[in-house]
Amino acid sequence: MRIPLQSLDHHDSQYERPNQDWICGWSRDGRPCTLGPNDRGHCTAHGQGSCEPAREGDRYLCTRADVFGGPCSEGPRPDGSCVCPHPEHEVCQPVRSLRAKRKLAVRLSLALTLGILLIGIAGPWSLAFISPGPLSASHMAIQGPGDQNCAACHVAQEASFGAWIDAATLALTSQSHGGQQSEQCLACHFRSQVQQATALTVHNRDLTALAAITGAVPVPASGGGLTATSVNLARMIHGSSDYNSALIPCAACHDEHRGQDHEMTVMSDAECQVCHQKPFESFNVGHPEFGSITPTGIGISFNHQKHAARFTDETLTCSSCHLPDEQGKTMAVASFETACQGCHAQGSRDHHGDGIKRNSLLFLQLPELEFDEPVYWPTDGAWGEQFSPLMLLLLAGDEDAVPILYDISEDAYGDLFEWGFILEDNDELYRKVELAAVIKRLVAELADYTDAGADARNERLARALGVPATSPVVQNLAAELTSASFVMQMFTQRYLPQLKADLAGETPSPPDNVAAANDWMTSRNMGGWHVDSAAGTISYRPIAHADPLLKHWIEAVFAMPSAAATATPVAEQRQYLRDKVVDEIAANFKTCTRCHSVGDEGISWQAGGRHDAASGFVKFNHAPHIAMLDEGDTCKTCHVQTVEGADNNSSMVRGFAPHDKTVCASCHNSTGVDNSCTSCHQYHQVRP
Amino acid sequence: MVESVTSFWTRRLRSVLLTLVAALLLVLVFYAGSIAFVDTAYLTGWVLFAVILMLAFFNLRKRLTYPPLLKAATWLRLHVYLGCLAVLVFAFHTRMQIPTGALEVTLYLLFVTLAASGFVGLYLSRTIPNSLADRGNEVIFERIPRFRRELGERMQALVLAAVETEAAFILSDFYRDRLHAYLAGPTDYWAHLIRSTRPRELLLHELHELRRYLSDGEIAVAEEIAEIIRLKYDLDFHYVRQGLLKIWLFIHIPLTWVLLLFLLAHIVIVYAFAGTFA
Repeated sequence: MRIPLQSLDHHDSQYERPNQDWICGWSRDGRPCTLGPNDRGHCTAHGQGSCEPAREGDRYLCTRADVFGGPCSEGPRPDGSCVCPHPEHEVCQPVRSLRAKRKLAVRLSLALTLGILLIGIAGPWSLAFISPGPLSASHMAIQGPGDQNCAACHVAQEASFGAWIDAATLALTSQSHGGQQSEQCLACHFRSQVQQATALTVHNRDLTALAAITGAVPVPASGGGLTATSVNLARMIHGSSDYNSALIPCAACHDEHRGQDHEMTVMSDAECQVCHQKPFESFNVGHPEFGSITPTGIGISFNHQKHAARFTDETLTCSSCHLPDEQGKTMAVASFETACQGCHAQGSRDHHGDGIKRNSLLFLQLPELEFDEPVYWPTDGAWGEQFSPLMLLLLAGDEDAVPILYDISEDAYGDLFEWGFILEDNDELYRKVELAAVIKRLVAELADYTDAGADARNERLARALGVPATSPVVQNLAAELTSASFVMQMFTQRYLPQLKADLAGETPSPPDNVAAANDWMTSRNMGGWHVDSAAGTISYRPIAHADPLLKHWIEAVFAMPSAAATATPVAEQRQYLRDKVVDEIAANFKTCTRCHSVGDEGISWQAGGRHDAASGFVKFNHAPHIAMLDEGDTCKTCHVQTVEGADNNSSMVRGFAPHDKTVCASCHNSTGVDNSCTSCHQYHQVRP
Repeated sequence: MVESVTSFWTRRLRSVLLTLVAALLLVLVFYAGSIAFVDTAYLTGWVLFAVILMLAFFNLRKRLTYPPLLKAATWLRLHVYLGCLAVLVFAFHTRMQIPTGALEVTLYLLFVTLAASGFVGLYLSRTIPNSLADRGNEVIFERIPRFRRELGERMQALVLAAVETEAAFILSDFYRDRLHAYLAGPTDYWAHLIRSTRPRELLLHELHELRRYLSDGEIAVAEEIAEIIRLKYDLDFHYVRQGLLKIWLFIHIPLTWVLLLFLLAHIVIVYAFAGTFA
């Protein structure tokens, strides 16, 4: 039989106060006092039974407080001492209740935590303390020893903790973050300004180009599957993403501080497809066929059908021209000298080899002008009746020359290159004088071999082309023109020896016929610059195939002017002249453009333009695929020639049928090798 | 009684189902965000912070008597199921990987310890009341020292009376050697933790072994002594196990506030170092 320990009846049960901070010190011994300590932890035992009697007249009165029972009935002794000196307990040392101890533990923990955080954040190890972890292997060099170089990516490193709070508040209230990091990323990646402008846009493309690509790609056939379901679910929950109008921070895809082994470039198929129009399951299920992708340029125009028909004895095979690069990734096209020159060389009926060197290009000729007033202009040796395209383009870089040339073209019914008779018939003296002035200025600039001359030519070309002076097309062509300064000085001495004085405003006498004395001129059969003293011209004979001046000259002609460069009336006239030059070049340089195709982005000097044509988002590694070819398989396993495709730009490569997706999908499927999006596609158009 | 048992299981089933539905929704939102270029680190982080705040509010709610926001029992249930959800969100936030930075490792360990202490507390609060009820007596924790003292005084009086009336020196020696220390304070902590009665049975066995030397009067006293021994053992059982119910909060509650402080620092640092598009 058990004895009950306590009665739970509230009449018999003492009231406990576990929520009070202090309890009687005698509790541990099981004999707490009835009242317990006060709220400040002081024992009240001394006041429970006794008091300090107060004297009133000749008597002492009991002063026991009401809470302890009030004045006792006996009252103090005559000597003023208390008659109740025995309280319920002796004075104790009250102890904290469990609840109070827990509260104290919380306060101590908070104080300790604050101390740790202050030391961690403001102490010498702060960067190591707040760093979320080591960087990936490719960024380890940035980090440096001991996490001391956070500022390379985080501007906050150099700020105080107070500034961190401000920055955090700003980031929270702006509801957008990651921008400053992205700018730091772009300091190293996407270095060129052109790339940086679109570095944070979707696929690094502007919206127009992206829309064009989207329009060119057919809608996938299949919309089902787990991937498509996931994508549809994501769109339903988070809404359709409108990334076209937003800048995407680098960190949205590239996670850092996850250790050296972390792959920063991994993307799932669902992540790729969440932005695309119609999600599909995988490459082998639902991916569009390759056929209808339209190339924007094809590099070197090469007719595979025609060449295959000529070499039926198989002396010309795929590997005669296409060789794998060092990594085996791409099948590079062999150079002209290696693959083409053997046939397209000296003695060939084609244009290459001596064919190029045979065609000397007229650079500059002084027009035949007769003046009724004294003008410094040669009476001998100026027999020109037309502008050369290069001369016309250089004159278009002179603000004064543009309206004159425009008027001449108007009078010549648009034929700027047959203007001589117009000047003879139409006696517009003021135009002749002005024309002579701008031509003399051009001659002086071309003959100036100093830095000032180089700068002047640079500026002239920039104005003429409508592109910045820092543009490579300007810099390259200006550099080539510098090599002409020597012959231009000779030309000046021959025909305009007092040119400097004339331009300085003096009135030198017209130059005499000094041709015989200076008939030192170079041979017309040599390559490079030469002066024809008989014709009064400066010409340029290309040295060989891929002649630098010729190359940069054609590049400059096909360079696209900026919008700002065509915004004024003079600029419109200049654009008119430029178009004339382009038409002339296109007509006269067909020998170049026959193989080097001209597209929206200029002329293609190298083969391989088809890679850019596939919008820059496709990657392919030939090496593993070639290694897997069985005996008897050839390049033609994938690259199928077709007669229909020979002149059809809609094919992947001219002369070849579009790749058959089923050939790829025979291996790249859900049960075979990798068939994810990133297996063949890259998000960034160019490698950052 | 049958009705209350039914309502208990219905309530539990409903709570578990609601938690599972909430967990499923969170998983879907997080997964969808991960493929929709939503920065899930921020999404899961804020959800986790909100859940932790709600969990911490349970401690404040117990102190507030006004306004009457649901019953304390309802809050406790919310606390338990939200705690389970917090573990799920935490798993998403950390991507099931242990971080490597000092601050983040500290945060990780704090949360794991806090969650573990919560589950331990849940286990204790579900098992200890039943084990206490099995022992028969109901005792308020704060009164245990008083009852222990009363038992000691009762034992002392019993033995002194036996010495006077029965000359029970054997029992008085046993009291002096074994029982006085036994009754002076709580004993056998580890045995009570594992619900073992072996120390009590050993003591009773020793007392029983003395019976061959005792008179009939002394045997009657010995039986009363045995009953007091059993009561004291039960009292210690209450003391140790009720103490556990209170001691685990010494880990759980301070850790909550420490975690909140670290979380604030974490949020400031994350946003300060993330920058803006301003």
